[in-house]
Amino acid sequence: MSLSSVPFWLYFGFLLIALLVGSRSISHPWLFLLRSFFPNWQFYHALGHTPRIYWRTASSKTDESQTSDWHPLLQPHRRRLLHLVHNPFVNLTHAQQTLIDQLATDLADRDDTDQMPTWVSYRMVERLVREKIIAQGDIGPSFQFCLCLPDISTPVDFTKDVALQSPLLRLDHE
Amino acid sequence: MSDGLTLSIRGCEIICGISLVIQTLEFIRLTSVTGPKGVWAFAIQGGDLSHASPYMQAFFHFMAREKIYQTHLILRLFSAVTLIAFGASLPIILFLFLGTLLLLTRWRGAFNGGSDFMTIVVLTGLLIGALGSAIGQHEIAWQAGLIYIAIHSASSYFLSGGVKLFNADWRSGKALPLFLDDGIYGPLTRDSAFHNRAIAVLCSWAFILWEVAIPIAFLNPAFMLLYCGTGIVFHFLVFWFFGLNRFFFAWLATYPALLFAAIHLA
Repeated sequence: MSLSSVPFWLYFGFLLIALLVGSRSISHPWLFLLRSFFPNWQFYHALGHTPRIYWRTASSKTDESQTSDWHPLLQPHRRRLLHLVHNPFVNLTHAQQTLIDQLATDLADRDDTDQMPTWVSYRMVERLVREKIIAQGDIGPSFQFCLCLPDISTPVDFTKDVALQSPLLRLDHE
Repeated sequence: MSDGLTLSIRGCEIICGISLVIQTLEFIRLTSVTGPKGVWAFAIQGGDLSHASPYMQAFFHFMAREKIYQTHLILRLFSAVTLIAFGASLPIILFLFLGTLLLLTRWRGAFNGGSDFMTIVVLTGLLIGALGSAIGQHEIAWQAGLIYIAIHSASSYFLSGGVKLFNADWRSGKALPLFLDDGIYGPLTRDSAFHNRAIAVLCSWAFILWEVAIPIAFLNPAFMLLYCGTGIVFHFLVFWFFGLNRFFFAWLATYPALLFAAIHLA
């Protein structure tokens, strides 16, 4: 082993120790927006709860008892080889899932849950749900969405996986 | 400047340029999403900047205006094509680097996670080279830039593999089919080979061992060539099963730097 390769092996040794020991996380609004500079390179690293949004429409503006079934917000795409070079809508779905993950993180981390309707992530998710329902042509006076945290290995159970349920919201209004 | 260094720089520039063209064309296709009626409308998303100074907020508000945003994307497309055709001049790289920061801020820090991170890494490496060249330290600056890219790329594989190695669900083959089942193209078919535990274990260990083996690839440039060849297959599979096309090109853009570092270290 040459002398110049010593720092190289020390570096990978350090990474290995960091993996074993773990690290503390720090948070700041600017760090959130500039997190691309601090990648952790951990992809699909552990099984766990997968945040999912479901929606339903209501035939009344105020009565939650007359609602449709819950529908998943994000739908699977059809796979195409062409997506290798042009894949805007699949990538958009990934970004939408990231947004849902951020809402779940906010819900877990933030103290001001009474201010939830003003959170950026909540407002964006609400707009996303409204947009998807309108795009499906399922126009009713109001809708509702819920954030579920099912285990990745099991189907969603609405009796125990719901972490957040919105009030009835008007479909034609924000 | 050695042929190896020149080739590595051009390799990074061209693949990074292709990656940026693909990303920018996708952003152009999605401009309605960031428009006033879109989910990422600045009227809402700008709330992320409520902690920033009024000047900073005004700047981001100006840059988020529809026409400005679209003009930025067009200029970015031309800059990426220029990078492919003529290489990394300081104004072009600086524009692409700062533009990427602006775009990521517009998408709440990341549009496509890891591929955004690696794009920033490659642009930072190219920026180091271009900045050094501008002050007359051409060779050493480009070496530093490529080594910077190589360190991040190698770390990404090593950490990604390492964290799976220490996870019992990955070692037992349980995690892989569950993640694939949860993929963007819908659940695995009933007759998918990944439901077979032995195949799932074999594939999981193949990925883990290949990822954590990156330090060994630096021992010999031939090993690194083989590693990068396998990497192309790996990233294609990631694209095929998870729809992550941007990852394919973002990581490929680091391979000339990995090869340069392997030659340099050997």
